[in-house]
Amino acid sequence: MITAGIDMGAKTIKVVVLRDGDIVGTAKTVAGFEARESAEEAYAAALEEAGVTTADVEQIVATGAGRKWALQAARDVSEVSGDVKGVISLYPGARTVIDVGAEEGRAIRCTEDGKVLDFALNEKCAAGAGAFTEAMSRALEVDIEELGPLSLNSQSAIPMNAQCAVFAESEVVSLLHAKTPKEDIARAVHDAIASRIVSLARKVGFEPEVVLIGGLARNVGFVDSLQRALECEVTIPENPEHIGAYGAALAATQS
Amino acid sequence: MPGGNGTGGILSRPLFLHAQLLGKPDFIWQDHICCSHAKWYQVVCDHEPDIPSFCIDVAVGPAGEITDNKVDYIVGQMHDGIEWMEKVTDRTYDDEKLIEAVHNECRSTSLWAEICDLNKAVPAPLEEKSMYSLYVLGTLNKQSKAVADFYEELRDEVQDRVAHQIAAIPNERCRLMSDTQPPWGFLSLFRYLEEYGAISVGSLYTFGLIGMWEDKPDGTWGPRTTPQQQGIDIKDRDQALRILAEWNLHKPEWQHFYSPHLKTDMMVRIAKEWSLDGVLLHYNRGCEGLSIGIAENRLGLIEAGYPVMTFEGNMGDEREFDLARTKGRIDTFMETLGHTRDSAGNGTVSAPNRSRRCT
Repeated sequence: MITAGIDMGAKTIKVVVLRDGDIVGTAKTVAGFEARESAEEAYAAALEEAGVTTADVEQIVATGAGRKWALQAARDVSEVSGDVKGVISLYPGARTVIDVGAEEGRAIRCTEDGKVLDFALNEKCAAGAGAFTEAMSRALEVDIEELGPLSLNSQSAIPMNAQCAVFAESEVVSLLHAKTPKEDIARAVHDAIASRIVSLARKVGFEPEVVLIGGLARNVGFVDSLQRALECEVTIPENPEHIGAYGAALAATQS
Repeated sequence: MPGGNGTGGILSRPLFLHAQLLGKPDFIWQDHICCSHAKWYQVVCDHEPDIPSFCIDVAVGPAGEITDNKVDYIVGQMHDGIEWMEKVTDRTYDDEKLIEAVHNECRSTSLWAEICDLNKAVPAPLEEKSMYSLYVLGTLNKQSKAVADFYEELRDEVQDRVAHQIAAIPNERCRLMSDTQPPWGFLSLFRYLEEYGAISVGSLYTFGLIGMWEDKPDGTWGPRTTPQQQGIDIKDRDQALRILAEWNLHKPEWQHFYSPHLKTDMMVRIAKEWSLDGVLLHYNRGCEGLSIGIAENRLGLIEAGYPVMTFEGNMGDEREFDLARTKGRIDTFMETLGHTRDSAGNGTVSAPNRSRRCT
């Protein structure tokens, strides 16, 4: 059975194609302003990698903030369900899932059979998500890929007081003017996001094993900050940003 | 000008025709229970310094700790207030009208509780969106005979609906309650819930802002027995004021100002007695008084085994409410409760799981 999952994220669209439950194709595109076209593009790329055609795909399930725009999908599941399905399939011992994407952070507590016990989402502000790191890397004039490794070189922890991305950017500029080392500022940015995410995790009463997914899981600086704040190790899948789409594809096999 | 609309009326009177029709008040009479009330009344005085204003402090503690001294404190203020009214209006206070108003208030607020009590029935005869339209009469004019009579008719009609299994929504599969005032500009949320077969059967807010309750012999919550039902004949001003004070000190929506745990207890009680499957908590930035302690209430409800979804908003400021994201949360919440939505709005249901809870 061939199924597909489409994760219509705020920043990127991820597609996973499964053949009998095994991943045979993945793709990722920037969502941009034309999410439907981007979804088609990503879907076509994933099918090509899988070596199948649209006619071969029996079920498609969408997830993600823009899931209603995935016109290929027959139905959709929430990000929370998609995340948990994907994570539990890979890590049956996982009891907490933390997903930090571009615009949203969420913490989910689940059972071994994938039932959601509790979930918490950040509110309207993206200060606890990936878009914040992009804004901060621009302010620091470093590539987004460099922000994580840079913060690992930090020698001192600087508290970032602002609770809002806009004010935090002003705070970063002030720190730069004060000749604060960039690595310390980078760590402050990651610590600030981690503290917001940990508050969500505490809200659901997190317990190990904690699995971190979403694009920010690729940021080693954020992972370091998160682990320090959680006071526990987190497990990171090989393709953390594809887990939601993988979960949706698994849901499609159960349709 | 009675009730809590004084501030709104003062501010909107110059702007809106309907407010102008209310006319300029001769005086303002308010009670003080919420931490923000003092500021409201200060603003009113700033805007309308020539309108005499009187305020009664009723924040003497929870119903379980009422003493004669506390009642005396409130009754004393009301006596003072009556003398003050006579001065500012140059009219003699009519105690017969007061006694009649106290009778009507007790009757209408007990009847409203009785109406809400009928919503324990499955399927529920009323959904909360309709209750908002009905409770407002008691909120603004509970001392009038017309409102008490109306609630009597309404009670009879709702009883009839229960007897004939007439449901508020045709596909009730999931029973929820909300909390505090909703984001008023987005009551369509309740219609959205119906697409999942979910109904909000009420809340501590709709039940207890005007509804007066008591423990019944079987241990359940039910409508408070009125002085008339107890055979009490109110003979004079002091007795009327004393009954009025004691009656209102039992108001459910006054209790949580003293401890969030009192509110949690009432919410858990509603969840049990109204057979709820989950709770929607509105972190309402527009009402500090009713929002205080909600995070604590959430923990209590979860501990009692009820799934909880929270959402941020503001009852009065649309900018602080995100409809799309809240609907997204509802989607997730309903999904975790085992309910799915179909295009026809007839929720199809798998077995609900009370052990699951969400935020």
